Amino acid sequence: MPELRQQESTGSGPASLLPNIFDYSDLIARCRRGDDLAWEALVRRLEGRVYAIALHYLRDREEARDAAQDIFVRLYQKLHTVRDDKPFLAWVMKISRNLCVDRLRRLSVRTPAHSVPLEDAPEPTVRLPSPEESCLNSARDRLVYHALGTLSERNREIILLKDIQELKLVEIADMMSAPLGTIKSRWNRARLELAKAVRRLEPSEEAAL
Amino acid sequence: MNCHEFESGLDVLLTGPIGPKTRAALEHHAGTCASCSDLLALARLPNQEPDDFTTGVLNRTSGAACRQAEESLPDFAANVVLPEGDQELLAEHLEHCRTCSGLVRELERLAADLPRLSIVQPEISLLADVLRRTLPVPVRLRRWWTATWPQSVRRPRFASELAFAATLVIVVIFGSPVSPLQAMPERAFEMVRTESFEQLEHFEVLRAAAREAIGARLQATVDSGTQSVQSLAAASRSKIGTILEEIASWFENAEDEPPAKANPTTEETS
Repeated sequence: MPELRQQESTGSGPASLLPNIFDYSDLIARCRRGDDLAWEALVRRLEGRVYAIALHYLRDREEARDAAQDIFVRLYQKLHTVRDDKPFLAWVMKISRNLCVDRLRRLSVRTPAHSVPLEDAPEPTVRLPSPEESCLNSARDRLVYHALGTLSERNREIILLKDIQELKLVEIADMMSAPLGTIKSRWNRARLELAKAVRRLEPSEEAAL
Repeated sequence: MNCHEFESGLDVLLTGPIGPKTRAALEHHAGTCASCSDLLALARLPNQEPDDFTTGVLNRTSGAACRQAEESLPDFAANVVLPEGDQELLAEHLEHCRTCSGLVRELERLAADLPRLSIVQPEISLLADVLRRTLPVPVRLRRWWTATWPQSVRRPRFASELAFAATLVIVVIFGSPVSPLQAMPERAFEMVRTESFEQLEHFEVLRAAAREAIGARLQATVDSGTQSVQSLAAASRSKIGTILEEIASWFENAEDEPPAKANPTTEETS
């Protein structure tokens, strides 16, 4: 199985080698006029991000791949509804989230709706990285990904949207149809739970500090 | 300065900023008063509390403060300004609590690590699959046709498959219960048999429907069918007319013949 690469947020990777002369609004305008090359460029730019969202929600490589395709098809069908005054990436995230949540419901593989107390979680054991984790290059990233899997779905989602995809809290509140204060406190709890999970999974890291 | 004033100024002498005059007055009093001198010596003893002393006290009183501290740790790690006083109390707690200080360090690391997970390249690019599902239908069909048609034609079984498909189409068109063309042949023969010859013009209506339904190719077939039916009808009419004329002439001849020869004729007729 070929080694997968993770495109860093700094922009390393093949996509960054291309001249970045178009922003999203240019590409969208061209896509609306039926420019297939623009659509291809848009898919290339969003591919890693959309796949990451699907992977974090579904936590299964094949399911994530299928879901990512569905997301792109939905984006293609709805490109004409994109409003220029709205952030495009947030719109993409919203569509991605909705599709992933629908798929999760269909699969009925959702994690428990309530938070599992960390004290009740099983003791960490020596384990091999899962196929999903093998998509990530560094051991630290794999550890964080695994720790995310121990969170409740609700907490994992808020971490995904705020800390990983770096959406604004207002956008997340709008996406989840919840008050801003609720989202803020939920985010704080989720971060704390994730930090505890990481320390519990890898206590040796703390000793090395 | 008396002893009461000395005790009031003792806290300032030990911890706070103090003016030189006040310090001199307090130290002078301690030098002259044995009781206050002992008190100052006690107050200047170094802290000798055991490591778990505070923990023990907290366990017997309010409990550990970690639970309250945790509520503010994410904001503290993100350098969010906490309410007045909370920042200092939390910082003091973190100096003594390894668990909470470890959590703060972990939160700071996660803030730097999590954005790296925002982009994960799939093993095989999604591009080909996405483009296949989003290209316009005519383009997809053209590509499919170009890719598959030559191979299909070269296969040995192609001729038999094509014949089977054509047969199937004909059966569906003329044999299906819902097909408008199903009754066409029977209707044509029925018209010839029971209705006047002029009503064969209704066949033109069926022919127009057929033209719309199955196109120009079938029209040629229908035209030839129409001609055949018309010629058959004309032939039938002429033949029937001839037979009727023969019967009529036979009856006329029979009436003209003498009664003596009527018996054999009747036998022949019967």
